[in-house]
Amino acid sequence: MAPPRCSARAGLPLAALVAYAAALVGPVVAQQKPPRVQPPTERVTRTFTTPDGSRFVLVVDASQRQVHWATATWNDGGDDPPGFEGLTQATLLAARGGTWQHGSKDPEAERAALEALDAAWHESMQRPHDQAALARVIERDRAAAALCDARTFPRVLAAAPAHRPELLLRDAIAVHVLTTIEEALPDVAALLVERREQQPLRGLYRAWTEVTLARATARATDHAARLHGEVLALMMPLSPAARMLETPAGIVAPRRADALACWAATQHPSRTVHVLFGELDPDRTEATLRKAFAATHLSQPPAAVVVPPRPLTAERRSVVGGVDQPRLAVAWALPSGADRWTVEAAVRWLAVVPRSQLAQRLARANRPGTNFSARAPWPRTVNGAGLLLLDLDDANGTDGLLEVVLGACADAVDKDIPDGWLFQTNMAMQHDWNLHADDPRLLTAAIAEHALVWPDADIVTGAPPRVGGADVTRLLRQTFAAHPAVVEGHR
Amino acid sequence: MKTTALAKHAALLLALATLGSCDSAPPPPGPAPDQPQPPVDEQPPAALTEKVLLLANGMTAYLSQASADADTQVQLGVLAGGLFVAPGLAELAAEVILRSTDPTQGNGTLEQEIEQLGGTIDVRVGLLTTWFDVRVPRGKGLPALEALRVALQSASHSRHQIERMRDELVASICDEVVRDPLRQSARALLLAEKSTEHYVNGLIDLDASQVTLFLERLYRPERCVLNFREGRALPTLERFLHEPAELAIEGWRPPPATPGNSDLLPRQCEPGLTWIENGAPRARVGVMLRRPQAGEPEDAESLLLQSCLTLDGTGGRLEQLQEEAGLGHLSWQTELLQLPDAEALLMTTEATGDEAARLWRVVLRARQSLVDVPPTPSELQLAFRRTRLAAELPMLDADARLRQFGRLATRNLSIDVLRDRLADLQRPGQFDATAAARRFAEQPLWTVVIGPPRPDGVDAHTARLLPPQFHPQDTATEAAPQPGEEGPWLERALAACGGRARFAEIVGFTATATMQPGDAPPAADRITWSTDGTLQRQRTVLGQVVTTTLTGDDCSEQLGTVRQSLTAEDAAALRQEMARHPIMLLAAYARGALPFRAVAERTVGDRRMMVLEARDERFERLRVQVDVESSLVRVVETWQRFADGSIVHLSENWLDYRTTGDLRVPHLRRASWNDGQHETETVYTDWRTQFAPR
Repeated sequence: MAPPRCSARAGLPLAALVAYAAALVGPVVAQQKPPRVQPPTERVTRTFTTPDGSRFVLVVDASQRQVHWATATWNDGGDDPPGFEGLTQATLLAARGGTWQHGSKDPEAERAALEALDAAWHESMQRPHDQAALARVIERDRAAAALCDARTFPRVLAAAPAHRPELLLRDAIAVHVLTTIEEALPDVAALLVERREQQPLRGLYRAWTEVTLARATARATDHAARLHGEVLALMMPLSPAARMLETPAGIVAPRRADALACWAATQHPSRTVHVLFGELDPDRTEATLRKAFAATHLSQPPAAVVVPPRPLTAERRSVVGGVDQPRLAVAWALPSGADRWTVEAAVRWLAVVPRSQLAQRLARANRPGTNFSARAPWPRTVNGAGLLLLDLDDANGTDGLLEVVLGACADAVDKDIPDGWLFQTNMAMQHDWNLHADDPRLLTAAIAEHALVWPDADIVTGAPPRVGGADVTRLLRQTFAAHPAVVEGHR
Repeated sequence: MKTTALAKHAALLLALATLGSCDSAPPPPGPAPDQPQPPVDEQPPAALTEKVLLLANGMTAYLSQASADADTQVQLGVLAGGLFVAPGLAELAAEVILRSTDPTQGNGTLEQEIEQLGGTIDVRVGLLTTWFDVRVPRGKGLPALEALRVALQSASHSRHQIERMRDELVASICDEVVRDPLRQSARALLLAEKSTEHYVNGLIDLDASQVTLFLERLYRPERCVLNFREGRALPTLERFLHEPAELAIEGWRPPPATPGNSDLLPRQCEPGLTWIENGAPRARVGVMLRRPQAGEPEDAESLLLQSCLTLDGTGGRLEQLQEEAGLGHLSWQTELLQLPDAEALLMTTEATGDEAARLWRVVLRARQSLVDVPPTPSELQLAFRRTRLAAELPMLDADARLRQFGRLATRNLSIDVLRDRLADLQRPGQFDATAAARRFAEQPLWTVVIGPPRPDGVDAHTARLLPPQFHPQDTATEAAPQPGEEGPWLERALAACGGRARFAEIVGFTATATMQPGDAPPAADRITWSTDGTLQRQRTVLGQVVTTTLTGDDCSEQLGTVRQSLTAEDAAALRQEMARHPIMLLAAYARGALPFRAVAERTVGDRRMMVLEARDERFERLRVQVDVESSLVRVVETWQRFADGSIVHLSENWLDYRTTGDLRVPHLRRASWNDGQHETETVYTDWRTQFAPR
């Protein structure tokens, strides 16, 4: 059978060439456009909170042709019930299946079918070798699937119109992002509220299995995870990140009610930040959003408790065995309220190859086989209340490595930061910013992410500000004034 | 003045495009290049925020004032895209501009210079144009322009450097193909390539001299458009184009190009089903619908129909027909695939092989259904709503937006032209859905399937992701062959050119060629050759047609009514000439009719060649040289004995490999007798391989 073919006229070259050549530098055509004489306006930022408690950031950029809408929520495990780490992420994945209003053929019947499926699933989990129980799960899954159409909600959203709704999972943050136009904002807003309020979490058990397997795989290949878990145990024992670093004990099944509670907690308006970026009228948009985000039926979650790490007054050490090769993790508490760009520059000064203080110290100590990396603030928590973490590994052993690290820290504080280095680092930070700022969707997601993590900081929509050398030195001096937590890993 | 100059420029481009050939453009009309040309708009209104002007060196510039807090954008577009000259050449040439260094001046590469300004640079190769998209922090426009000019005039000519860049580019493209085969395959098809394998083969095949010539002929100011957007007033931006003279972009005046043409390749995009087997149990399926060039008013109808077909992979006729075909469980992910001068909507999903084949038919049926049953008013209502957004999608990122603004500005069109057209179409009686659906049904539509074997009965273009012989780490360390052994070289050559099985079925060829024998008049040949020794050749020289026929022992030449028998030696020489074509040699080897033995490894320039000699008495010491990297037969050498007893050494260089049917076939032969005593060049304009019936 021959495949149906397009007409020869559909061929690209000549038609495309002529069209493009005309378009590239075309003759002046009869249709005259009015000259653009309005001076371009700068980006305007407006923040407000809607009656339901949602925090909104509007970034008006007249050079855009669309509106990008990003909703950032926490995915740090803080709302996961103990033993069910990853449940927040599973609910985010399951939420793609639509709402009760858009996607259910019979909401009451489907609700009952999902409850029945939940019961069968638990029964099957408790009796893993019972084929009859497994068959019941499959049968009830089919029954539930027959009562819904998971494509309805995406279709309605596409018709709103909204382009490419997608979920970006960025470490401890989840960002739901889509692209639309200003005229469609009332409809899109209504659909996003509906997604939040009328969530059946279809396909929860598939999403949960997917997340659990992915976590198990990640843990199996992340050799530093055990050291990181120990660092957190020493310095931030209440951090949910420590639980997220543990290897799943096996497939356990969360209750549907737990999942719904988890969804309600993470998606509650008080826990979310929405950023709308693009061509929009701020007054009209604010009015629209205030009307759409008027109330919530989700129960108020308990206030998130973030216990910032306290600077250690004495060094804490720990040793873990069974890692792939000798490793060392060293961490200090960051001073509270540290500026994120200063932290970024400090990390580069201390431990980003090739001219960092740690690289130079390692070279002087003739340790070419040592690999290292640094991150801060880690883990991601509100307002950067975290640690400065150094990771090192060396197949030849870690003897003497801590002294090298501490020497590099002393250098980082004592040495004057050369102007040339500072200039290059600021340029490198601008370059890294530009890498995602080229794409307004990614920029919107980044603004939402930062607004969620740094609620007290100003909204930055442009390139990062210049960081001064004195600020970097001051930050590192404060950080290294306390003692570190040191975790060694042996085979 | 502006209008005239631009109109002439456009007319020139149009003419070049229509003729399918692009010579180096003559200097632009107007003052001599050495005299600074005043700006076209001499007294711009003070508040004007955009402007188009023609620089003294012939470059067209579009200036746009951004808001004071916006980053600076500089874009250089060159009329030198992927359709010019050879596959991959445009991308490699851009890579040379991006990564060349000039140590004598202490300059880094263009990429490094931009990064040191805190900016980013992306190279985007389209069908006709190549773009350098630079984005730097605000206020850094001038140094970015200067870095661009330095890069344009210090492109490397070093064979070694260019070949290193080519190897790095090949490695990087291969990595991308491995990482995201579906997207890269779709991109290759949109670039009018047959497959990623074909594109990589083309790249490997490129010689450094081609890059140098390409840059000389096509990277010229009169073929360039510069878009410059910064948060300063237009007079300041304009001044940055002229000053300082020694670094300003207007001062870029390359020396005259080497005479000759840099032709557009006569390539056609091949819509349809492309099936790539990679052994995966499930197929990744990509359906690509070409979108019309953004911002053109006539695009509106086509975009409306696309929205009737599907809304980002949901809804529309496609979902209905998918449901009816029992494929409703397959859901699509969509993305916009953008080249600087072509766009497509790419929808991807995962399916079984059988489902993938059915899906292809469903997509076609869904599109055809819009012709058979035009969209209903409710469908159209939804489509109008959706198209308002779809029309803006190509301007999603800042680079595409500026490119679009610049293009519309040079045409004096409003950026709202498409919105206005949509509003027009919504008026009663303005939209002829039936006629629009017919036009929509003729637009290219591709489906790519990567995964399990093609089900029986499914006709499709077949392709591979990467050339099978592409294992540079193996070839780099491979030991030289032992004398007498055949080695893997010819097997690799077979794999590189279409596969042993296909070669074993070859029984001849039909070709049309033009031969230029030194200073003698050119000859045009029409050749039909069969491996049983039958030859029919019509040679036209100065209007006279000489017909040569070899059939068994009956060998003759005929000019007009005069017929003359050929000697056995002449007939044998002719037969050997046909049998020496690399495709015929490989076919004979594949059939087991022509064994070879390895002789030596030879280095020619920077290329490693394996020399193999035929073990067959029909030829006088026939040797082939196989390029180790590309596995293509590059040289065929032999000794030819004439009737008078004289012997000459004949060396034939085979170049310009192109995919013709299922095979890669060289289209250019440069033959040299006795080390250059006599030379000919033969260009094959048409080639058809004859296969034994299956």
